Amino acid sequence: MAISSAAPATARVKRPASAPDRGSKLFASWWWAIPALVVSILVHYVAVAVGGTFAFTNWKGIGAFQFVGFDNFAKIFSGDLGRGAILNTLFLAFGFLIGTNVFGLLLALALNRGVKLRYFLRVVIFMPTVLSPLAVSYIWRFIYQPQGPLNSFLGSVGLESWQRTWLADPVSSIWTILIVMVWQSTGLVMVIYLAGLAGVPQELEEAAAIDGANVFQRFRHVVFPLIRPSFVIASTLMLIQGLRVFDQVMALTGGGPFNATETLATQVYKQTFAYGQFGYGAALSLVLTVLIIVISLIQMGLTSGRERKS
Amino acid sequence: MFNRYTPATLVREVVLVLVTVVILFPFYLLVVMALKDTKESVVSSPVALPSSPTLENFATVLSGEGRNNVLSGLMNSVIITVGSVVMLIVFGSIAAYVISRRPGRLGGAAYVSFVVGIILPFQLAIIPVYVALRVLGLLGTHIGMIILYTGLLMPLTVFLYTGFARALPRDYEEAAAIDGASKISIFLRIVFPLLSPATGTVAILTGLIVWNDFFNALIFLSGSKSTTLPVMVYSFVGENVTAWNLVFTVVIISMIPILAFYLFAQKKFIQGFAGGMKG
Amino acid sequence: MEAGSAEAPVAVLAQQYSKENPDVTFDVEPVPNEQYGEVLRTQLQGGNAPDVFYVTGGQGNPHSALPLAEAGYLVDLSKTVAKDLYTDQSRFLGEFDGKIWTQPYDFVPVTNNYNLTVAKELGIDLPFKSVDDVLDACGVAQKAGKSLLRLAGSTVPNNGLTTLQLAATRVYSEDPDWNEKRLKGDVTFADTKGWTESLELIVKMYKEGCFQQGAEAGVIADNVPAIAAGTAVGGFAPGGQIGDLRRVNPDNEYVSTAFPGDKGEKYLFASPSNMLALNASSDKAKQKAGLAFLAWLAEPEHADALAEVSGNLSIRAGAGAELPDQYQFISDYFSDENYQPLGNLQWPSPEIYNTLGTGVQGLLTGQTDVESVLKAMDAAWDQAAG
Repeated sequence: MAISSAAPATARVKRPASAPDRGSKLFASWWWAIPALVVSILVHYVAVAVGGTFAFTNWKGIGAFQFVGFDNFAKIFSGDLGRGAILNTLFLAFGFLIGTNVFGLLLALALNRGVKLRYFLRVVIFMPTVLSPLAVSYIWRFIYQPQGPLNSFLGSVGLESWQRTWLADPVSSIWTILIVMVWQSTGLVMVIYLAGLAGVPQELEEAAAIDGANVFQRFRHVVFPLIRPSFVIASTLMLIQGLRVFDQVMALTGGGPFNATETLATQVYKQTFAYGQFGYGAALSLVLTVLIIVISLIQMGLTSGRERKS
Repeated sequence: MFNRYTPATLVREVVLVLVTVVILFPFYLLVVMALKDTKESVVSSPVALPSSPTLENFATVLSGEGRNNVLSGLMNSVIITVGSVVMLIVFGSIAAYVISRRPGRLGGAAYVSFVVGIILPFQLAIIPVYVALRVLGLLGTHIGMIILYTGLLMPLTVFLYTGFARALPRDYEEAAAIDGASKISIFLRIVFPLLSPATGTVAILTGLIVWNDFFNALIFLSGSKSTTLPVMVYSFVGENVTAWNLVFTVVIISMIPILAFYLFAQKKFIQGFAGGMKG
Repeated sequence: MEAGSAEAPVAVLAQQYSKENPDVTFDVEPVPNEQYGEVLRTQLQGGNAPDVFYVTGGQGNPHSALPLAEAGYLVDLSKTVAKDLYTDQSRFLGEFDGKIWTQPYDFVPVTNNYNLTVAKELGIDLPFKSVDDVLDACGVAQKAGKSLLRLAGSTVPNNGLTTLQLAATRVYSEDPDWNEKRLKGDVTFADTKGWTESLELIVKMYKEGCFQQGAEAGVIADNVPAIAAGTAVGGFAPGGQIGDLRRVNPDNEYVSTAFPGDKGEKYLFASPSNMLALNASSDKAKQKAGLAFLAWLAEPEHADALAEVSGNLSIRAGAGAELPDQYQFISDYFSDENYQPLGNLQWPSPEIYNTLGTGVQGLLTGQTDVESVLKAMDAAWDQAAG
């Protein structure tokens, strides 16, 4: 029974890749989707298009403006700050994607069954997720302070040479942001994987174990194919969230020291609102959008490509 | 065979508890600070235990008046979050279902339009949306915020639902159709319950985003009576002096409802997902 | 109307006004500082801004007066008492197109504030007469396990304000019209010796341990608690900071001083930069009520009361009047007229001040050098002006 219930599950996951069957059209009417389409088109497409027009102007965020063609875009790609922001954004996004998925999956596997305190630990590990990113950053600022707990801990275990001014160190500051991001979102990724693991029949794993498969083989060939939907969701969500990283950077380093942790999103914010260069900021945000679309397409291509192979 | 409690399981348990303690350390700072009086919170080290723990901060914060009334902020946050999540679930699940059951060019285009919507830079839309809400007379109201968040998060919702809906078997729908059930009752009675794991993910994810949103809440609710908790926290952050003990107290208060919701929901969603996969 | 924090000085006075005029009520709308400019601009463009709101003088900030006046959002105050509250030197802060658009409500000296109680305990003599005095005191404070000065090195405003105070005696005392010359292109940051000296002095003070450990990561919110608790003796801020220090730790005594020049030159920045403006799209009755409130606020008695709350100087006191106790060491700066409005208020874009602020952090971490910072400021200026 166990194995028979699992086999169709895998088959079903693959079904969308096959040709659609005609009968299914009967089940849904098109107009049901209209409210969702209308509200998202109005809020996203129409309003963003209106705002995006300013990318081709020299508008200062208030008052009159002129159209300046592609000047703002030329400025982005010619400046160091624009390039640095792109690199930092990519570093944080991929570090975040990898960090949350590795730790989230490990925790999910470890807490899936067996451990007595598992329900309690699942809640506790999820707790950082419910805090607002701004509150999280304030707490961590205390931890990273020059005389804060992190440096005192390093001192007490004899690692004085590791002590530094974490949030203003040109090299380590971007890592401090990454750690906070991963700390906050690992619990969420864990839950997504736990949900996936709950659908993996234990009997299937046991059968593989009897056949002599070790832990890694069992994960690779039995468990992972079954939790692929969780993997797709977790990786897509984390990638998009990582590429838009803003709150943590603003609250922890403000983009410093000396622009070392500036990201596209913080630059967009600073240019459009703080420096009164709305046109330039709008152009920057369009660049950010294109970057996210390209990376997401690559990511989707990779995940679906692997799906076909397996 | 995996259910026996072996020495290896014990090791795993101990390691996990240690990891959890490390993960929890920032919460220690949060709680310790919330238990200190104002002077001690300024003078003492953030790691030090309070010399005389006090719940006074909770009393101070909860008895605030006018715009500092945390209870009314809590109510506003709850109304706006629950309203937005319900709208997202109702309209998002049905749109995703349509997309999954009506493949082809039109469905594909609709799906892509939602996915791209996740990525579009909303910063650019702030002023146009602000003006639109004002013209409609919805600025600073709960309904206005619910519409805003519904639009803002609909693409993410549809994306999450569509993945699940596409994986759902059609056998039950076909059987029900043969029995003469109407389209809408097939969706409500059969499909929506099967989508419950996705509903759980959507509720937690979008609920968290709305609950913790500071930026839009600040811009769109400034000057109204509908201020939410994340904005209210800022009344304790001053230009030169910040009352961290009060800020962290509000942070703790705003954590409780959403943590309670997660506690209540976690088993259900995980079981629900398992049920969905086994059909 | 809006203000920066719940007990904003103007809000306190507004309450009093409501008591005297029961037909006028205020709905105070507090907005976090960092987002104030954005909220205000969105509200103005959405046609939903308050009737009376806070702005700052000149054009250096998102909530600066002049761009809002240029865009037509403000009520013309040329025929009101507002114009009498400016001096010839400071009129540019609220003047656009030959008209006055804003009313300043207090007078903000930018000062080097100290915890006098702690300074006395350490045997540090205030005010300092020369840079050598300052450096000596740095050593004294360090030996006692404290720092002489507190710097929020990760924030633009505190780095900027600190540099400007050093530049007051190194650039502006010698050349009060430096800003105008820069506008005309006669001078640049990079070729003005005083700017180089000011930045070099910050680096020197940092290396000699004048600032707290890890000053490059400091944040503004920690400055007042540290000075009030005495872990640092002083710091750079607007004079109103004294009020916050007293609120946090009323047991100590605090003073405002001006940072000395290399040869004991005396010069400081003080400006009527906190202002109120009226919303041009409010209905006429509310504009009239707003005008009446502004006129009331400008009466000497109320201006003095407001200054007492804000910790700054009364807009009516001006030069030569008797100053509150904490300003004892700088009263001669006012009587001798050795002051002018804060340097950056006349700079053509916020980006220049921002380049300075981030540049200072880069100097402390060794990521950049003095010449590059000044050249970047020149580049930002030329771009804004050209």
